[in-house]
Amino acid sequence: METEEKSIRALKCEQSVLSRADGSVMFSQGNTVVMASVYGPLEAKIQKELSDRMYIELNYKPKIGMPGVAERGKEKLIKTTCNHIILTNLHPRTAVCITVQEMQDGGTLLAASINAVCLALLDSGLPLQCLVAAVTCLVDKKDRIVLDPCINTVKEGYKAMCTFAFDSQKYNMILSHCEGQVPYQLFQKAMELCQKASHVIFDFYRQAVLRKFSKELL
Amino acid sequence: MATDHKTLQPLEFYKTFLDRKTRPDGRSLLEFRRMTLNAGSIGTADGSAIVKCGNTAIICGIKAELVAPERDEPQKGLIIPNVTLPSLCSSHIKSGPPGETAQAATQFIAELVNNNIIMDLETLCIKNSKWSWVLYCDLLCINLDGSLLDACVMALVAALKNLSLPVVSYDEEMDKLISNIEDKMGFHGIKQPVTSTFSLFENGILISDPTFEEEQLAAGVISITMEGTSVTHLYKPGGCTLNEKQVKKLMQQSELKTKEVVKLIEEACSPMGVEPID
Repeated sequence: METEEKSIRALKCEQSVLSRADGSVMFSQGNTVVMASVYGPLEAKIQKELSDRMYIELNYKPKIGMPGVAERGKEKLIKTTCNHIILTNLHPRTAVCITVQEMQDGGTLLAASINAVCLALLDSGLPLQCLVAAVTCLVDKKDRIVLDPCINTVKEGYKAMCTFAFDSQKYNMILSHCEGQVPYQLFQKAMELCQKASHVIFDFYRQAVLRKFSKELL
Repeated sequence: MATDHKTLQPLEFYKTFLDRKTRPDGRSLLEFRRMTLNAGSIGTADGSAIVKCGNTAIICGIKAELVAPERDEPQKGLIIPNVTLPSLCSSHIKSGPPGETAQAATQFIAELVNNNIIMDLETLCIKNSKWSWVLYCDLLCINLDGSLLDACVMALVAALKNLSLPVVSYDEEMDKLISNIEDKMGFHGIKQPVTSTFSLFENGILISDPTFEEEQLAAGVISITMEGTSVTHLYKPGGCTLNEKQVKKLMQQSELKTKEVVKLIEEACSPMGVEPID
């Protein structure tokens, strides 16, 4: 059992890419590119209105074709994560509409989508409870843990692929999703590794915000 | 008085119970509901099971067909799960095309299937790249009262164990399939994954096997799928955070449930037949 790659791929982002959205971002993690936009708080549809908190609508758009069952699964995961980080009870009876557009699949789409949504929320200025960073890791057939695998590694086949999301306060787990089967000890190791890697993403968020505001001041 | 309190401040009402380490239905925090399982209840299906976990009821029916396997995986058969939540199962489900809950549950089961957690898909193949079985597994919810995934996985596993198909063999010289309707066979090597759902509340309180009401009030859910003592799947869609100590506690609880469910499925699917056991 050894770890192959200990770092995550290069992160890049550009905030406020869309002129009409309240918050938007183009985010890339290696070859994976995702665009996210946030509109809100908006008036909620009557059947979607919640009396005590904000309703979150999340749409995940695949690169080709219409969203199917697999996309619905992703939407649910991202939406429930957003539900935790957004202070929804500050805006009762309203809705926020978040759209995630897949631009290029280089593996780890779910993690990249969550990170993009978090950056878009930051850009929109909605009050958040904390930030979230998602990291994917893969356990290959020789029981090695590969952090943030690229699409070629994923296509080679794996024992399990796990995605975790952590909060920025205590680095506790918000989301966990895995495909495949691993013994608990390996799973725990993978989780710890992802938890450490999430710090890199939080640092990146800080830099992105710094850059954005220093640009605005000029 | 109590009902007013419940309608006006459901969360406060609930928390008074949690503070006393109990729940409105009389269970303790980590207690599971009574489970009932009946295998082979639908005579016209190739395999079937009915599961009740408390008030949650799921029927699973399996229809088998012979098809050519998919080109990129010629040595594998197919299992196509579909979870249906009709509007009769709960007042929160609207009629029409499948909603988010149903699709997310279908996706959850499909992921278990595609990762060979339920059974090895290669055993469904009769002749490489020519013929294989495809199993359409329809899971219909009759009554939705929380812990949907637990009941779905249990129903699917029991129905697969109950499956009986005609023995089919491939004749290479004639290039066709030969079968005898009277010879029936089941599939061996069906694994026994068990899913356990837990709800989390803001102040770190964990409850197992939540009802629909509890799921709505809680700050997050987590579903742990185990096979024997090894964890195969940890599904936590957002919600409030968990630390490692809590995860460990949940693992122990789900291990207990796994043992119970495996025993239940074995008894219900034994050739002796179909008696419900608690």
